[in-house]
Amino acid sequence: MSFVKLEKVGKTYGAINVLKDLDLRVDKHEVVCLIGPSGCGKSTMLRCINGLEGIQHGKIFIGDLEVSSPIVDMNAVRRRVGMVFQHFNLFPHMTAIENVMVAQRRVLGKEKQTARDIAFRLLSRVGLEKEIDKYPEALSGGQQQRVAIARTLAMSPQALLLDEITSALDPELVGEVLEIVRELAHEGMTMLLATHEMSFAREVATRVCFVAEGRIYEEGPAEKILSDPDLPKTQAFLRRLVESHRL
Amino acid sequence: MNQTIGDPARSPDGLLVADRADAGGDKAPRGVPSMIPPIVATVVFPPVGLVSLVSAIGYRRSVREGNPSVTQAVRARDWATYAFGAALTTLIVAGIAAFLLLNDHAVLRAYFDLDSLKKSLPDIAGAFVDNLTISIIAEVGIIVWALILAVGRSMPGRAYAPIRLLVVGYIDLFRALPGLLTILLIGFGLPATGIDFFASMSLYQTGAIALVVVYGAYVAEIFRGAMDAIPSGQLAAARSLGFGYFGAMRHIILPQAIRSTLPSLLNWYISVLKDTSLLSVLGLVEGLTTARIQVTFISNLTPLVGVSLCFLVVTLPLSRLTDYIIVRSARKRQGKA
Ligand SMILES: Nc1ncnc2c1ncn2[C@@H]1O[C@H](COP(=O)(O)OP(=O)(O)OP(=O)(O)O)[C@@H](O)[C@H]1O
Ligand SMILES: [Mg+2]
Repeated sequence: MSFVKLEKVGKTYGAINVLKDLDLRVDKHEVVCLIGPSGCGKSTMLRCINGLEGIQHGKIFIGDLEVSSPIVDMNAVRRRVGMVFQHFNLFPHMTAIENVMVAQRRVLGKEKQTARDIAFRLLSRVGLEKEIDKYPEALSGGQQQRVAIARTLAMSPQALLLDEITSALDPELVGEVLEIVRELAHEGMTMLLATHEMSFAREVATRVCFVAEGRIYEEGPAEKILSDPDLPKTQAFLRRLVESHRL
Repeated sequence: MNQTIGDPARSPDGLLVADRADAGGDKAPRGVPSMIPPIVATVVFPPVGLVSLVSAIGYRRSVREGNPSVTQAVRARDWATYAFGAALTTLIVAGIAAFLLLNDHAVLRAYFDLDSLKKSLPDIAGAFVDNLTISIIAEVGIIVWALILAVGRSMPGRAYAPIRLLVVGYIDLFRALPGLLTILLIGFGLPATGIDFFASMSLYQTGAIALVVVYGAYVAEIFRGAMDAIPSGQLAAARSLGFGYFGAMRHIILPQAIRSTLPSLLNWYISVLKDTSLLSVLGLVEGLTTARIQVTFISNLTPLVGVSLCFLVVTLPLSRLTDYIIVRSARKRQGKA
């Protein structure tokens, strides 16, 4: 059964038509990678799924709930689908552990100690048990992104939306973040991620979707899409990647 | 210590060419400094003046002997500047002192009569507690009210346009009116409504409300500026965790906004405290009014000095605290950036 489903979704910013009749399905336990040139609408798609942006046409389903319907409580939906951002967006006035605790406390209404225990477990899991009392500015980019992942996991989401979570990191810090995503993938977490890391997509993706013309232009297994795509725009995109030594 | 510059470093006209490289660019002296400031300073304020005179003479001698020292030159110039500042301060203080002593100490007695001060200060200080109480209560109200206004003003979307308009209108109106006028309108207006709830209010309450109404408008603008400066990703992150708009404001955005406005808030508190004396127009006998009454009784201005002291005891440390917070947060930013 598909967990996230987009049906003929249309999204415009003023006169710019970013998404046009976009269809997408992500099944439970799938890891779907969105690739495509900058500005093709990957971030927009993820933000629409999470209700951070409204859509003009079409329907979006999460589970069996149509979340694009105006009567849905988006706050409740967002608790089921976590999002991690390119620029971490940690709360700078809180320590790492407070970042992981705040939504548990204020949104889910958990007891302080319960929230703290969960936060500590998650931060340990991403290898930060020594940094729990540091403020974000005292952490490296990779550490910040790991806190951000822990913060999202603390809401026990049923799926994760990851928007180029390594592209703001120095190359040597990318690995520690991808390692966590890899683990989550093995545990069967449903994930939809926009990425520029093709080798990583090849490794974890159950399916790769190439986004162009405001829709899923071509999709298939990573092996196929990243090595031998059928359609001309996908081929051109890959050619450019090879030329810039990123594939 | 006395590093001397040998002949190779000297230009033909006797000026120091090694200045720039040696003593750090513009600070280094060029040519021989004038003797006038040290001499004037020696006359006006000998302790510093003499030192500057000695160092100036020492430097001149070294120049005359064809052996000018950069260290001496810098020291002579620094002492000359220092002596100038000391002389100026001395002159101003002396001027004030002269004014006070003028006409057989008449001015001094008018402002600083110790007996009057001793007699009036307890009453004034007692009344000044009202200023403090009202200002603190008003400040709490101002912050809460300003936060509400700021949030109302930054509500997103077309549906909230009427609310935004209302808030903007309020803020513009009360920033456009003189505070005293608003105080009169509210202070006399509320009791005059005849509505029991308002009519039964004390002067303290109506006064505090008036201050909240006026200063809420100013402080709301400060909060709004701080909220605008918070990256949009913060709200997105909070929303994606399931916070509603108001929850995100309350737990994520506003705490950051308040932190960054802390120095401004302290400054505004100083203004609020000072403006509590405006409430005297409503008939409140606060510190300044008490002092004025005493002035008319004893025909001496010392009570005004007394109430000045009351204000200064609170406001001066707050000013220093504000500066300290600004410097500290700047240092923190630089250190971590
Ligand atoms: N808030 C906005 N207002 C107007 N236009 C926007 C807005 N956000 C995005 N766009 C436009 O929508 C298009 C898609 O943007 P989006 O950020 O989704 O691309 P992307 O695929 O994530 O690119 P990148 O790989 O650079 O992150 C771009 O042309 C962008 O200019
Ligand atoms: Mg993007």
